[in-house]
Amino acid sequence: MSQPLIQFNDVSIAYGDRIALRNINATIDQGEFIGIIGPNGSGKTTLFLGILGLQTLLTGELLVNGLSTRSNIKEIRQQVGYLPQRESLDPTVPGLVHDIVMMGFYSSLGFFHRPGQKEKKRAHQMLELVEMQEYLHEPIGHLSGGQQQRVFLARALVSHPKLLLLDEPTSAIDPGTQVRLIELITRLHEELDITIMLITHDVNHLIGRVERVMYLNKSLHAFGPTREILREEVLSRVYGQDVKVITLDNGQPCVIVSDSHV
Amino acid sequence: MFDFFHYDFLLRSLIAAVLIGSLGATVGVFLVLRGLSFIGAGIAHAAFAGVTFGFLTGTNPLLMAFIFSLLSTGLIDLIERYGELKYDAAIGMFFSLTMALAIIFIGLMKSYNAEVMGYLFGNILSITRTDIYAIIAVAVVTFGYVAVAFKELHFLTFDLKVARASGLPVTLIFSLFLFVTALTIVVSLKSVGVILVFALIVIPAAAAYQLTHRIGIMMVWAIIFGILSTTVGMFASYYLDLPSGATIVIINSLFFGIAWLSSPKKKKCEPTAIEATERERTESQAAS
Repeated sequence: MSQPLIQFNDVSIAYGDRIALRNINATIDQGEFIGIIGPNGSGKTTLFLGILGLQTLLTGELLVNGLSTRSNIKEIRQQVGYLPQRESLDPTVPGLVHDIVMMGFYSSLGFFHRPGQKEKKRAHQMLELVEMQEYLHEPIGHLSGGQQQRVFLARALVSHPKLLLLDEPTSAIDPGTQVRLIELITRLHEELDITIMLITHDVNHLIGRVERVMYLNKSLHAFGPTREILREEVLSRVYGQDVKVITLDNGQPCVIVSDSHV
Repeated sequence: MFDFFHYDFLLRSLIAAVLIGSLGATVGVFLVLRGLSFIGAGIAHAAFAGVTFGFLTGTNPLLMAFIFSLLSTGLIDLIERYGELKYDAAIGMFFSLTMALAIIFIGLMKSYNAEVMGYLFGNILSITRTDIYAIIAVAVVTFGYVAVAFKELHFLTFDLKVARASGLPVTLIFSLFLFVTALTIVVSLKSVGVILVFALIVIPAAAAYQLTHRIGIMMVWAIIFGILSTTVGMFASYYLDLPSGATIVIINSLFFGIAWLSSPKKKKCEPTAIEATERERTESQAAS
C-alpha cells in the first residue's frame, strides 16, 4: 500500500486580497507521476509555491512527507527538487555545467563547506543519467534550451529529493526536443522511483505517462486517472475551446484543440 | 620611484588604491551580474547626503555617510520587496531624494566648505591614516563575507527562485551583501568621489565578464583590473598632476576597451548558441 507524500487539507492561497487557489483537498502518494493542467493564471505554479513554502497558506494545512509547510519548511525544501519556468534564471551569468549542478548541494552544505569528492561523484552520476556528462565543462550559456533543462534536472536530483516539481519544463523548446525531454522525465520516474508533479500546457505529453491528472482553475476542478480527465468535455472546459480526442493508428489517444468556427 | 615612497601620503594612497580597487571589483562582480550596477550610484549619493549632514551638524561625516547609505540601501531593498517596484525605480527615487537632501544641507551651511567638494570629486592623494584604518576594516569585513558566501551569492545571482526554493536564506545573504557594498562605497568616496565611485564597481567587473565563463575567474580578473586601474591612475595623477578620480576612471575604461576587444565571447557567443540548437535538432531527428 502506497504512503501519502503530499496532503492538501482545505488549502487556500492568496496574493494580498486576491485568492489564487481555494479549498484544495487532495492526496498524492509516494512514487506517483502527476500531471497538472489548467489555463494561464489558474494557480498551477502557486500550488508549487505553496508546497515549497514560498507562498504562505491563507487557510488549511499542507503536509509533505508528514511535515507541515507552516512549521517544517526547511526540512521539506531539502526533500524537494524544483525546476521553475525558464524565465526565472539568467543564463548569461558565468557558470559551467559542473558549477550549476553543484548548486543543488549548497543548501545542505552550509556556508563554511565546499562540495567535496562525494558531491562531485553524485553530480557526475546525475549528469550521466540525463545524458549530459560530455558537457561537464561547457558554459551553461552555450547550451540549447533543451540541454539546459537537462542540466537543471540533474541539479534538482543531486540532493536525493523525494519529490520533483517541474513547472512547464518543455516551454520555449522545439517539439522534437520536448518529446525527448518528456521521455527522459518518464524514465527518471521509473528508474529513481521518485514522485513527480509536472505542469504542462501540452496534454499529449501526459497521455500514457502520468498516472493521474489534476485540473486546476483557481480550485481543484478534477483529479483522477489520466483517461478520465483527458476527455473532450473536461479539456474543452479547461481551455475554453473545442477539444477533440482522436485515436491514432497505434491506438494512442491524441488531443487536438480545434477552432469551433471552422 | 624612490622619491615616490619617500612620502608617507603617497604610500597611504598606494595602500588605498590597492584596497579600494579590489573592494569595488569584488562587490561589482555580483552587482553587474544581477543587473544592479546602478545601486552603486544610489548608495554613493546617499553617502554624500550623509557627508554633508555630518559637516552641517558637526558630527563625523564618514559615520553619517555609513548611516545614510545603510538606511537608503535598506529602504531600497524593502521597497523592491514589498512595494512591487523594480530595483531600478526604487534606486532612482533614492538617488534623487538623497542628492536633493545633500544640496539642501550644503545650502544650509553658513560658508563654502572645500572638504565637501573633496568628497564630490575625490582625491586619492589626500587619504589620511584614519581613512586607511577604515578602508582596512571594511576590506576585512567585505572580503571575509564574500569568501564565506561566494557559492551562495553565485547561486542566487544565477537563479534566485531555485536558490530560495532550495532553502538558502537568500534575503539575509543578499541584505548582507548590500551592507558590505554600502561599506565599500563609503570608504571609496574620499578617493574617487561620489560621482565616479560607481565606475570602480561597474567597469572592472564588466571588463572581467568579457574574458571568462567562470565566475571565480571573473572575480580574479575584476580584482586585477580594479587594482591596476586605481594604482596606475594614482601614479598618473601624481606625475601628470591630473585629478585622481577622473584619471582612475579613464584608466579603468581603457582596460575595459582592451578586454572587450580581446573577448572570446564577442567572437563565439552567438554562433555557439545556434550551433547548440542545431546540434540538438539533428540529434532529435536522428533519434526519431
